[in-house]
This record gives sequence, C-alpha cells and structure tokens, in this order.
Amino acid sequence: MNKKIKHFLLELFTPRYSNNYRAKILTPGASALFVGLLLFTQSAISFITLAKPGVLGYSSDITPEKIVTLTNIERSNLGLSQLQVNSLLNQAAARKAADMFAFDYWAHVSPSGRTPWSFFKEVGYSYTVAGENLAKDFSNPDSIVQAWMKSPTHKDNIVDERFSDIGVAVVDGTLNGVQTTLVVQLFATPVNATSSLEEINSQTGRPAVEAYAQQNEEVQALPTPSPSYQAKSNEVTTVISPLAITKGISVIIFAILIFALILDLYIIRKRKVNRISGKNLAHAGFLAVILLLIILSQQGVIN
Amino acid sequence: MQEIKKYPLDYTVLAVGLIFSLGQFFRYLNVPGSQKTVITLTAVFYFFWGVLHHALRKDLSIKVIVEYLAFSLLAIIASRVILNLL
Repeated sequence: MNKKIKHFLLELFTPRYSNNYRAKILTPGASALFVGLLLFTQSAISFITLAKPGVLGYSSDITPEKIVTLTNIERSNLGLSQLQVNSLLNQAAARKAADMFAFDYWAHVSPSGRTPWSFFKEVGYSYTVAGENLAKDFSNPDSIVQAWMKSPTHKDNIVDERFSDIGVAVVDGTLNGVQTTLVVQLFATPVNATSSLEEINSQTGRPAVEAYAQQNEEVQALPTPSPSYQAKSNEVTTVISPLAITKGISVIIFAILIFALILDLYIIRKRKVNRISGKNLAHAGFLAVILLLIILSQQGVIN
Repeated sequence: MQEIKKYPLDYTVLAVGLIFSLGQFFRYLNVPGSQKTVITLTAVFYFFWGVLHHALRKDLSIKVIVEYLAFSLLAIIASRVILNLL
C-alpha cells in the first residue's frame, strides 16, 4: 500500500520516465481537473445558498457612526463643510434597506419603480438636492468609503458641497440567498436651508440636479420590517463566507502548482533531461502573481 | 536563473507585464468588475507571451501551446469563480 502511494505521489509531482518526464500535476489534464474542482465549489455554494439561506454570508464591524465619520474626514481633506447627521435621513435610509431586503433587490430603484427619493417623502424630509450611495458585503467601514471615493459618481455624492445633511443605515439581512450587511448612505439639503435652490445653483454653476420633487408620486405601503432586517442586532451569528471558501481552495491549488513547478525544474536540471515543455520559471512567476491577486481580492460591492 | 540569463529580454517583458498587472489591480480595487478584468488580461498577456517566446526560440509545439492555455484558463476561471461571489 505504501509503495502504491509513494508511486502515485512520485508520478504526480516528479518528472520520470513513466510520465514522459513531466509531473502529472503539471499537465493540461490536471489543470482541467482543478478547473472542474473550482466550478464544482461554485455550484455547491450556489446550492447551499438556495437550500439553506443564511448559512453563507459576510460578517462585518460597520456602524453608521463610523461611515459618517469617515465620510466627513474625506470632506475635511478637501476643505468642505461637515455633513450633519439627520434623524429623518437615517430613517429614510433604514426604510430603503428594509425595502431592498423585503423585495430582494440590489439597485437604487426598486423592481416596482420606487426611487430612493420616495423614502425621503415618507419620513417627511423635503429636499432641494439629494443623493444615495449603496454598499454590501464589506467587512469594514474604511473599505466602503475608499471604494466610494474611487468611484467617480459615488465620490461626487460624498464631496458635493451642496449637501448639508447625511443619513446612514447599516442593516444585516439576506439578499439573494446570502447573508450580508447592507449600507445605505443618503445625502440631502432640506428645503428650508439658508440657501435657496437658485442661490445654490448660482454659487456652483451646476444645474438643478435630482429635482425629484415629485409631489404627485404615489407612496407605496412600506413592508413592516421583520426582526431579521433590524439594524445590527446584538446577537453574534456565525456565517461562513463564500469568498473564504473559494479563496482557500484556489490558494491551495495555486500553491501546489507552484511547488510542483519548482520541484519539476530542480529535478530536470539535476538530471539534465532535455524535453519540450513550457517554461517552469515563467509558469511559477505567473501563478505566483495570480495567487497574490487572489489573496488580495476583496469582498464588497458598491452601487 | 540560467533561463533568465539566456533570455533576459523575454523575462524582462514578462516581469514588467506582471508588475503592471499588480499595479492596475490595486489601482482599480473595489471598482466593480475590475479585479476580474485585470486577472483576465494578465492571463491573456501570459498566454501570448508564452507562445511568442517559444515561437522565437523555435521550440513551439501544440503541446506547449496547450500548456500555456491551460494555465491561463485556470487563472481566468479561478478569478471568475471567486469574484463572481462578490
């Protein structure tokens, strides 16, 4: 038995006469098997999210306060005024998050056509200008704000000098079968602000944007938020991150391949074998870079 | 190392390409879709580098092409499996 295992491992990892001087694990067939393993993993994760929603997901230490603080730091860095937390905007953000979980969508406008501005109206916040940033699946608030700042349209909201108020909701729930932390960030300036819309436009030279004073917009009945949509419960739920699973498997595969390439190269050089094959050093370098990119890939999506 | 000394220009091009990919990855981190795009383009670059390298050295064969294709595809599919979950 031990001999068989030893023979199997030697065939797999070392170049020899019996495997035509190319370790089996470095053949295209082996790469195809690894691809199959990764695709199987993805299918398994999809199946689990359907069969057992809430088992897989992303946990985080994000709070509304941290999001507001980091946002105002970015504004300070550009010499802009600080945004004031508005309780009505907080409520509007919470309602938007609850709506997204209730109707299972990830967008600014709901599938039924409900705009973000309808939530402003529901809570009684009359605005001159308004904006919305969304984020999900992040694990920390710094990554969220950095992601928004790297995106031109999201950054425009954060550094817009016309905005005076901010509201943030951070809500845990299940979206598309995956447990996640949803962040809704709303910006606005109230109608009764010092500057009228005309004054704002003359100061900034920018057109009246998002004049969504849709007085005639019908307000749809808001679903009653269920306990699962409550902002940041005190219970600690252990979820398994799908990203961690696929990352872990990929890291193992690439590490094994890099090891095998280096071992193969060493043995071939030592035995002075001539063969036609790809360049092990180049393969190892390429896979090492891909391995690094895989390790550094981040979770989190903004909208 | 002997390989690098034998073909310094080829490996310099490869190193520059891979380092550039790393730079672009960090530059567009958290931009939707950018991580997948960078890894895909890196893999495509590597495939063509391999084919050109062997063609210039006159030891290009179907076996070698398939080998570079296999490693490139593995990288692309790994990135799409991981990042499609984001």
